[in-house]
Amino acid sequence: MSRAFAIGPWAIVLFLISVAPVGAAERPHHVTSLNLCTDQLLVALADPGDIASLSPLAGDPGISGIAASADRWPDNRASAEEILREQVDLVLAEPGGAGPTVALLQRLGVRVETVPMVDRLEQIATTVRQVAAWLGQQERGDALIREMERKLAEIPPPTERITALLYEANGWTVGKGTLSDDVLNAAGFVNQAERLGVSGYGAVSLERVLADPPDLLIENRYRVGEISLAEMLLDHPAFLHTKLRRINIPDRMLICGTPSIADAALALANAKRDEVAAQ
Amino acid sequence: MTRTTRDIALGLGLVLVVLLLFAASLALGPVSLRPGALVDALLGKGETASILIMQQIRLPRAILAVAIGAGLGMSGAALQGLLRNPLADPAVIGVSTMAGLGAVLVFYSGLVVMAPVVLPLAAMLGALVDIILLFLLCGRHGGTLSLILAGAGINSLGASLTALALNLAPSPFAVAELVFWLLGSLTDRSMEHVWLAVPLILLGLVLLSRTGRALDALLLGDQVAESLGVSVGRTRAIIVIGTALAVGPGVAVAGAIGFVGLAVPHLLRPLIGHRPSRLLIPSAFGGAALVLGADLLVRVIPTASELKLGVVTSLLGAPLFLALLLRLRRQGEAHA
Repeated sequence: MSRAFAIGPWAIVLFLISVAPVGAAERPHHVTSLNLCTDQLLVALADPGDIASLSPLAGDPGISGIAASADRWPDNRASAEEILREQVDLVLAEPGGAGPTVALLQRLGVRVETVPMVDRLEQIATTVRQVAAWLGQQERGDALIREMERKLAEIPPPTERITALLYEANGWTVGKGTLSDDVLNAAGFVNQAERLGVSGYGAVSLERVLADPPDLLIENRYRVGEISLAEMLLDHPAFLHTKLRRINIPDRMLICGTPSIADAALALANAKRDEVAAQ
Repeated sequence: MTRTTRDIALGLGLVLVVLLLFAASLALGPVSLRPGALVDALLGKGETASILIMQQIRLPRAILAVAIGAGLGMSGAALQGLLRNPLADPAVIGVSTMAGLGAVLVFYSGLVVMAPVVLPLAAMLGALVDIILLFLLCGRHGGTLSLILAGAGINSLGASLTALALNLAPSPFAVAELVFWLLGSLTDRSMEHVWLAVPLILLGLVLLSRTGRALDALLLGDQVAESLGVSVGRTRAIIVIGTALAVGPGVAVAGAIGFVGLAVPHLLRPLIGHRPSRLLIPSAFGGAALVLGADLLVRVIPTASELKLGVVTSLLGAPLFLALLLRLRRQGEAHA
C-alpha cells in the first residue's frame, strides 16, 4: 500500500513529462511572428487562439493584406524582452529581419524558425507546407495551396504578351529574379524593367520611362493620401502629358510571397485583358 | 584694360558661362538625345517622349538651377554687406534650414495639397523667422563670431525640428527625405515648381539689387550712411525680405543648398572689388553658374542614387569657409 502510494504520483509525473513535450512539438500554442509576411502566413494557417502576437506592420492597411483582422491580436515590437515575457513556444521570422533579436532569442533557448524569402511563385507551396508543418496545421496548409493553384489556373494562357512596368516611390521597380517579375509573367506581361536594364530591385529615372514607355504602367503605391516626395514622382506632370496607360495595384497585394499573391496575379491578368481589348 | 571694359568683359564672361552651363544642363540626362533632336524637342517637334523629357524634366531643372543659384548668390552678397561679415551666407546663418522647416511643415501635413502656393510662402516665413531670431540673438552690430554661433545654433535646431516633423509625418518615406531638405536636389522637379518658386525669387532679386548704393554707404558705418541720406532700418528690412524671397521659395522646391551664397561673392571680389553695389548682380550670375555646374556634376558622377546638390556645393564651399575663418583669426591676431 505504502509502495503503491509512493509510486503512483511519480508514475503520473513521468507520464506527463514523456507526453507533454511531444504534444508541444506537434502543435505550438503560443506562436509569435516578427515580420509582415510571416504575420500573414501565421494568421492564414494557425488557430486564432494559438497566435500570441503579430508584428506591428500586420495592422498597416498600406502594406498588410490582413490589416482588417490583425487587431484581434496584440502586436509586438520585435523585442526579445516582450517575447520572453509572452513565453512563446515558436517564433516565426524572416531571414535578415530583426537579426539581433532572433540571435538573442535563440541563445536563450527560444525556438525560432526562419521562413525563407520567396522569389518564384512555385516556391510558395513549399513554404506554406513548411510553415504549416511547424504549426501542426498540415491540412489547412494543403487547402491553402489548392486554393492558390485554383486561382492561378483561372488565368488564361497568354496568346499575346504586352509590356508592363511596376513603378514605385522614388522610381523603384522590379526586374528578373523577383517574385513580382514572376507574377507579371504569370499574368501575361513582359516586364519592361528588363528592357530598361533592371534585374532584382532598382530605380529607373523618369526620363528613361518616358523614352521607353511600357504598354501599361503599374503604380505600386504604399498608402494613398499620404504625402512624400518619393511618391510624388508618380504624379510628375510629365506623366499627365503622355498617353501612358496606368493602373494601381496596391503594395499590400504584391509585397509578400504568400498564397494571397494569386489575387494580385488575377487582378493583373484582368488588367492585361482590358488593356489588350482597348488597344 | 580700363575698368569699364574689364567690367563689360567680366559681365559678358559670366553670362556666357551661365548660358553654356544651361545648354549643358539641357543636353545631359539619363537618356541621351542627339543635338538636333534636343533643339527640336525643346521647340516641341519630334518624338513625344523627347519633347516630354526636354520640356517637362530638363527645362524646369535648368531654370530652377539658374533661379535658385541667383537667389543664393545675390542674397549672400547682400547679407555679407549688410552684416559687414564675410562669413554671412543663407545656409551658414540658418536661413535655408529654417526655410526648409517651414516647407516641411506644410508639405507633409498635407496643407500643400489644398493650395500649392503655401509651400513657398511657408518657406519664406521660415527664412524670416530665422533672420529675426538672428537679430534678437546678436543685436544689430553683432560680431562675426556671435553671428556664426547663433547661425550654428539655429541651424541645428532647425535641422532637428525638421527631422522631428519628418518622423511624425504619416508617410514612411518621409524620414528618408531629410536628406533632400538638408542637402537639396533638383532631380525630377517640374514646371509646377518653376511657377511656384521663380516669380517670387525674381521679386527677391529685384528688391536686393536695389540696395547696392545703400550697402556701399553702410560700409562707412551707420552714422555716415544716415548722413548720406540712407535709411539703415529701411535697407535692413529690404534685405531681410529680399533674402526671404530670394532663398525661401528655392528651398521649398529643391531643399537647402549650402555655401553658394558664401562662395560666390568671395570668388568674385578679386575680379570686381569690394563694393557691394558692384557685387550684387555678378553674384547672381555666379550663383546661377555654380548651382548649374554642381547640378551637372551630380548627374555625371556615377553614384548608385544621385548625389545631393548640397554635397557638391559644400565640398567646394566648406573649405573656403574654413580658410576664411583662418584668415579672420590671423587678422585678429595682427590687430591684437
